[in-house]
This record gives sequence, structure tokens and C-alpha cells, in this order.
Amino acid sequence: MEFNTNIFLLILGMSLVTAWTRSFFLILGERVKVAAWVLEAIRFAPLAAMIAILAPEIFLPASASSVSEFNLRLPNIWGGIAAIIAFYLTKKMLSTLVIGMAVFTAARFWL
Amino acid sequence: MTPEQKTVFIDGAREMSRSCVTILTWGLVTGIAMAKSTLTLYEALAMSLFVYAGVSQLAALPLIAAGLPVWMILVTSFMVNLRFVIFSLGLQAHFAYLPTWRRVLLGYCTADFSYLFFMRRYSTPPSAAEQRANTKHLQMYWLMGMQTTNWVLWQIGSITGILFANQIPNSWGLEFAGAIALVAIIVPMLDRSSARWAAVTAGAVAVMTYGMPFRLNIVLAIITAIVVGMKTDKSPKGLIP
Repeated sequence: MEFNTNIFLLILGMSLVTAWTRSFFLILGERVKVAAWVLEAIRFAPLAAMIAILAPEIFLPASASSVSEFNLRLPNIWGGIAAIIAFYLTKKMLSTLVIGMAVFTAARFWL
Repeated sequence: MTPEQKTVFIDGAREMSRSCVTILTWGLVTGIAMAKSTLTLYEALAMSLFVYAGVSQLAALPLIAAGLPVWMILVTSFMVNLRFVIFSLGLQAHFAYLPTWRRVLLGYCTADFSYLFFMRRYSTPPSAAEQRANTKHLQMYWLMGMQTTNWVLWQIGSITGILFANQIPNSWGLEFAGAIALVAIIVPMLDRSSARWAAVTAGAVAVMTYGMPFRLNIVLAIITAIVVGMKTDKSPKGLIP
């Protein structure tokens, strides 16, 4: 097994970055008091973050580097919309996956 | 753990296990991407086990392949993880009273889903006096239950992806399955108009600004969604969307 010092340092550093960012304000403990309006505002943060990760996966090609690569022939868009409708109607994970993937696969062949 | 804490821990674990399909799929996709990168098997396993941050791992892979210096990749990881800095404000309001090592460990293990589900259940933070009076730490054990399930499921998916990447053909469109599985987590949260406005804003901004470096489109989407969410919020204060 070959040992690469750079990769070792990188993995160590990235692990520390994970710990540091996720506990960024938590580390400060009782020295800081977060204002009520801040807590009020960040209620929307986890939902927005999740959607910000998801939306480009649905509306842009996997290899895209910017929004200019948006186009309606992308099978992801139709599979994504089908999945949203399927979940809305059935409320089931499995049917959402099956219908979303079926429309996605069909769109890949036809579009 | 007291029996009471154990009950709460198991309840948290069960809450997270309902999202098992989503976590396994994203873990699998990330694992496959690592296996197909320039990392060796052991490097990929170490990254999965210790870095434990999917989006930042995926962002790092092409930079590693391009041979960028370590510090530059670490800066990228930090920027990609900025959403967690925002989340840590919410955790601070609940867990500031804990000893330092507990706070760091609790923060390190709180990935997107744990934070999301925790804030959905405990929307109003306890006062300082309530925190000090809270000797049973039930909220912490509930969060730890979720974190444990999330970590285990993620590693199962990710390590399976690393080990069996070559047996899984690209044509399955597995990345897209991950995206669909996330739909099932997000849609139930859109039960109020302010949440829907915030969601549409976040999605549009994230797509429009996808070209930004360091995945800063995520932070931008969060900020604009907060503004729109607050403006359209007509509900009594203190409710989680």
C-alpha cells in the first residue's frame, strides 16, 4: 500500500473542516447569545440548503458548470417533475422512486 | 444512559431510519464517485469514514485529480460547508451549556438531515435557566440517536459504493435516484405558503447562480430564501416551516 502524505494531510484537514464548520458557533458556548431574530430567520435555512443541493441535480445536466446549459430536453427535469407529482399523490417513497426513474428513463430514450 | 435517555435515543434513531432510502442512495453515489476518482481504496475509505461530508467530498475530488495544493482544497471544503456555519447558530441556541468536547462532537456529527429533523421537532430553543435545569439531556440523546443512524446508513451506502463501483453500470442513472429520494424528504415540508415561497426562491437562485465558485450558490439560495420566507410568513412566530 502506497502512502501519500499529501492525501493524508488533506483527509485530516477536511475532517477538521467538517468539525469546525458544523460546530462553528456552537464552539463558542455560552459566551455568545444568538439574537431571537437570527433564530427566527434561520428556520428557513435547512429547507433552503436541501433544495439548493437538489435543484441543480434536476434542472441542469450532471456536467454543467452554469445555468446556460439548461435545456428542456434534459431527462432529469421530466423525471424530477414526475417524482414530485408522484410523491404529492401517493406520499410513498417507493412509488416516487419507481415513477420518477421510469419517466427519467423513458425521457432519456425519447428526447 | 438512563432508561429514559435510551428511549429518547432509540426514538431519534427511528426518526432518521425513515429516510434510509435517501441516505443510502446519496452515500452510494458519493462512494462510487470516490472509487472512480484518483483516490486509492484506502484513501477513499478514510475519506468516507472521517470527512463525513458528501457535498464537500464531491467538490474535492476533481481538485485532487487536478493536483491542486492541499490548502486550496481545504479552503474549498470550508466554503462548500458554509451552510453548516449557519446551522451551528441553531445548535448553539440549544446546546451552549454542554462541555466543549461534547459541543464539538455534537457539531461534527450533525449533518443536513439531523439538523433539519432536530429543528423541526425543537423549534423553540430553551432559555439559559432551562438549559441549566436540564440535567437529563433528552434533546441531546434524541439528536445523537439520529446522528448514529445517519452515520451508519451513510457509511453502509458509501463503502458499498467504493467497493462495488465497477459492478454498477453508469447507465442506471443512480445519481438521479438520489435526487428523487431527496424529493420525498423535501415535499412534506412544503406545507405552508411561506415555506413554498422560500423553496421556490432557493431552487431558482441555486440553479441561476450554479456557476459561482465554491458552491456559493447554496449560501446565496439560503440567504434569499430566508428573506422571502420571512416576508411571506404569516404564521405565529416560532414555528418551523
